[in-house]
Amino acid sequence: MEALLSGLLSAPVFLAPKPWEDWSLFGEQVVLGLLTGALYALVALAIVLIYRSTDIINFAQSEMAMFGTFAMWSIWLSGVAFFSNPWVLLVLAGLFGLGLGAVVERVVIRPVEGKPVLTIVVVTLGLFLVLNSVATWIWAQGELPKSFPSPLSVLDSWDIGFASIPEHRVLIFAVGAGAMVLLGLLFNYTKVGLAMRATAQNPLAAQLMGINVGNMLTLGWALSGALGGIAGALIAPVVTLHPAFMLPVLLYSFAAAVLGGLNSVPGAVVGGFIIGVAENLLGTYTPHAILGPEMSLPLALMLLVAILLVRPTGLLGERTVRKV
Amino acid sequence: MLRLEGVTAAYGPIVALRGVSLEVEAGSVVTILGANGAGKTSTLRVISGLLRPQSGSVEFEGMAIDRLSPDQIVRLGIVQVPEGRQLFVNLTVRENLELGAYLRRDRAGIRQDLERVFSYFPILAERQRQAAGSLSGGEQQMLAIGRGLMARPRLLLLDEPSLGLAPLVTREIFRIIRAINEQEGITVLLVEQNARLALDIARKGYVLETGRVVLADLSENLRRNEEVRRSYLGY
Amino acid sequence: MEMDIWPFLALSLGVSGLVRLLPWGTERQRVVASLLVLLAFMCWAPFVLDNFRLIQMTRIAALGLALLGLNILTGYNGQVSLGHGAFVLMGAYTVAVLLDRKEQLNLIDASPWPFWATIFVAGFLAAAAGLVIGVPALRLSGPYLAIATLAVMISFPIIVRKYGTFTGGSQGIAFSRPPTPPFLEDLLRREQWTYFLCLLALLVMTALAWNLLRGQFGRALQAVRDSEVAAAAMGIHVARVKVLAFVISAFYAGVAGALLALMTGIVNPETVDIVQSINYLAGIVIGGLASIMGSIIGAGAIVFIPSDAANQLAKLPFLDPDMLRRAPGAIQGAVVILVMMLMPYGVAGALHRLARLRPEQVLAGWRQVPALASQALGRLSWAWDIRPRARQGPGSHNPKREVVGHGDGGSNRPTQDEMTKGGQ
Repeated sequence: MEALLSGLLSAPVFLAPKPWEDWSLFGEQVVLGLLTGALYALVALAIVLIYRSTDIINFAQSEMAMFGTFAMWSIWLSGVAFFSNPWVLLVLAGLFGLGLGAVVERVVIRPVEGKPVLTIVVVTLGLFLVLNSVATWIWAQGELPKSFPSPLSVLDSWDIGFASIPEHRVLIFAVGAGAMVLLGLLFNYTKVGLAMRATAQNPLAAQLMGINVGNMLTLGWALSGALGGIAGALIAPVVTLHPAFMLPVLLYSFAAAVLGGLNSVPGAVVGGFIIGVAENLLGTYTPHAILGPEMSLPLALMLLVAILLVRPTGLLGERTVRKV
Repeated sequence: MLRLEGVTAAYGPIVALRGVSLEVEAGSVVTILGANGAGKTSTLRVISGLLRPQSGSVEFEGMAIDRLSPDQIVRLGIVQVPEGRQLFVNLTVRENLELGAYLRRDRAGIRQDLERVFSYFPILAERQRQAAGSLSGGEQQMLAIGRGLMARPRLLLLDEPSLGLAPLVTREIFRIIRAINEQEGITVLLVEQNARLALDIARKGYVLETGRVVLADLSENLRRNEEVRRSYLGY
Repeated sequence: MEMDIWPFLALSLGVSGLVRLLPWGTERQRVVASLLVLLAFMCWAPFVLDNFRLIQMTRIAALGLALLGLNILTGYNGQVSLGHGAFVLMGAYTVAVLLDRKEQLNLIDASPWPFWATIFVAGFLAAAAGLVIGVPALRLSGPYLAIATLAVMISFPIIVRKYGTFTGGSQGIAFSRPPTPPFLEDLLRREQWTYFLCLLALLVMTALAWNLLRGQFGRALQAVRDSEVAAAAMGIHVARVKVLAFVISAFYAGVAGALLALMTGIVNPETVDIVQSINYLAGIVIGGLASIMGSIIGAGAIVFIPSDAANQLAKLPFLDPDMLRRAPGAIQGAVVILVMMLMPYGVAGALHRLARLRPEQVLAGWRQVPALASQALGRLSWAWDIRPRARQGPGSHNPKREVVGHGDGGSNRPTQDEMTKGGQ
């Protein structure tokens, strides 16, 4: 039996690198996965922020981020010296997302507030179409590809012994982690944060406390937009800038958010990192002939579904208690 | 202090209130009695601004409040402790109490009031760091009332504080409601199904039936009223 | 004679609507008669519409089945699926493989399958897949189920590409479409024949669905949607009902996929992409959840909004045609958003409400138009109204929404409960 198994595993179709043959490769993949995971965590957090207070999954999340990134790109091209600083652009991207999120909530979402959740989800799909199409119209008519500036070099790497880490990925991680820490501080140590948590949990009671629930929802969308905007500006330098560039990130982030539990903020972060690492490891250590890198997305998703079957509301999600 | 004049209100096609008028004098305890669906909770929802009246007026100290939003009404000092308590079950006891004081900016005053709430409900002080959802029913009701007090209300609206509680716990809660009224001078509008206890602490009461006030009198008269005895006191 | 699609649809819907609304006979007779009139018009369609429009109508018939299936699952039973495209794609591939790759599959002999048999095989294979997915789906609910099904949809085309031996990889499979049967050859072109085929399938399966949904099973579906605990307490086998909903729904999707394949004669991983799959859900929400009519209206929306929204609106004087040409998606998206704002319970929901109005109510409603208009303006004012935190005079207040869900009518609509976290 054992012989059969080892024979089978050494068959050419099943040939794949094995972690124990090269631990430094494994380490490198894990570190790279964690770094990318920060990006997924950021967008997953944006999804969770909206979901936990309104039960809405915002499909337009990716396009809001894409729109902001293109806007930053225009500002960068404007030639004003102050805006040619990539750090400034990164901050601006966050601010732009903040504003866009608030405007979207006020103009598009509020008129359907209180309607069935699916109705609102379809509205976000409509918003997806609008933003995508308008961005194509404004920015993507002419020459592609376009490049986006990064505060750090996108070519250089740092050597950390067992692995070499691209500088830009470290930036993604650092900024992403910074944004998450700030958000955590906001939620746990400020009055507004407490009010947001209260609103997410029980809007009726929040109203009775004198909390303006409408403003809290707007704030939630604004913060979500800001996170998305930062994520967009972070990934833009290493991808080709085109109107669909955030969509793959959105899909991975959906997976991350669901994996962690859609109403759990820490869950989104954990989920993001797990998805990032899983994506890398599955791409590296599965037999290339039958699976391989192009199958890493389906494999990651199958893993997600498998985990959901064991924990139906994600790793850290609250169990839903249904009142009858 | 609070005066409702011919208030009608509806949820879509379902009419809940058909011309309710009532008055609450400053410093008193007033109770609203009635069966399920009589419109007691709807009355409180109108006062709190959660349900907009179709006609009629709601005045608080001479000012019309029926067009204000719930947060503006809380700002005026009208605080509701809703039916079923509506705690933030995943937040801690302490956080629930802090949310009660959400609109206040005076840190020293808030700290004082926290101590005061803990003196009324010592058990809450012990459970400060616990999630509100993990408290027992009676403790949850205490927390809900404590949370209401944290807003430093001038008029406290209590919606069925005895709901689902054991008789002993209910009596304790009512003792504290009376103390709040007498010691703090907070006016109380109390909605209750337990008519006996409610009439004990209230100065006057209103009886609602299918959205109308059918009886309004001082408590001692109501307690003697044949109708009330049969329908609500059960003897 | 040739007609453009819009006058044609206006005419057919107008006449059948008139038959329905005019005061004669019983309610039941009016409904049946108006449906028959509509059917007559639809049979006339292939002889008056041009080829492009005819193909669109054929697509609507096929997609209508897919959406009807999804609506049985999502609208009636409350299980949200974003992955129904996978079942449709599976149905399409089944037909393609059976009609073209049979020799490679080594199935008994090489004589070609009759095309009608492949439709059934496609349906049953998809139903089997529905069973495979429906059982684990019992564990999931709401958005978790939606994302899990989306995961299936994302993975399916990638898998098809990767294992290309039977599926033709990215190239897909091209096969010869079934020709018009001999006895109809003189009467119908191939497109017309395909149209009638799809129309027939739609008719038969809609009738089946109608029969199924109005009976005990339909009530069980909706009871489970509204409260699983209460349904179980009434003696409904909740798990069985939910899995069955998945199986039936997948069967419809598989048949729809088969028809789509027979229409085009080519199937590849892009035949149904992720966006399409998500559009199915959008389609039933726009058309109307838990409504057979809504499913077909939704299919119409999926087909016509991309092809016509921008062009039709370009005729309006105040819109810039240049922008419409360059950003058609913006118009499509805006139309979707507007429909949802105006008809939050879908087109069918709005029609349903309209149909219940009596003449005097219509008159009263007409008199309310000014008031409603000012109310709508007031509603829009939310957009620019950033309420100051303190001291706002009573006069300047705006209608404050209610947070707790006293639904305004139509609260029997599903999935609201399904997607909200229970308990406060």
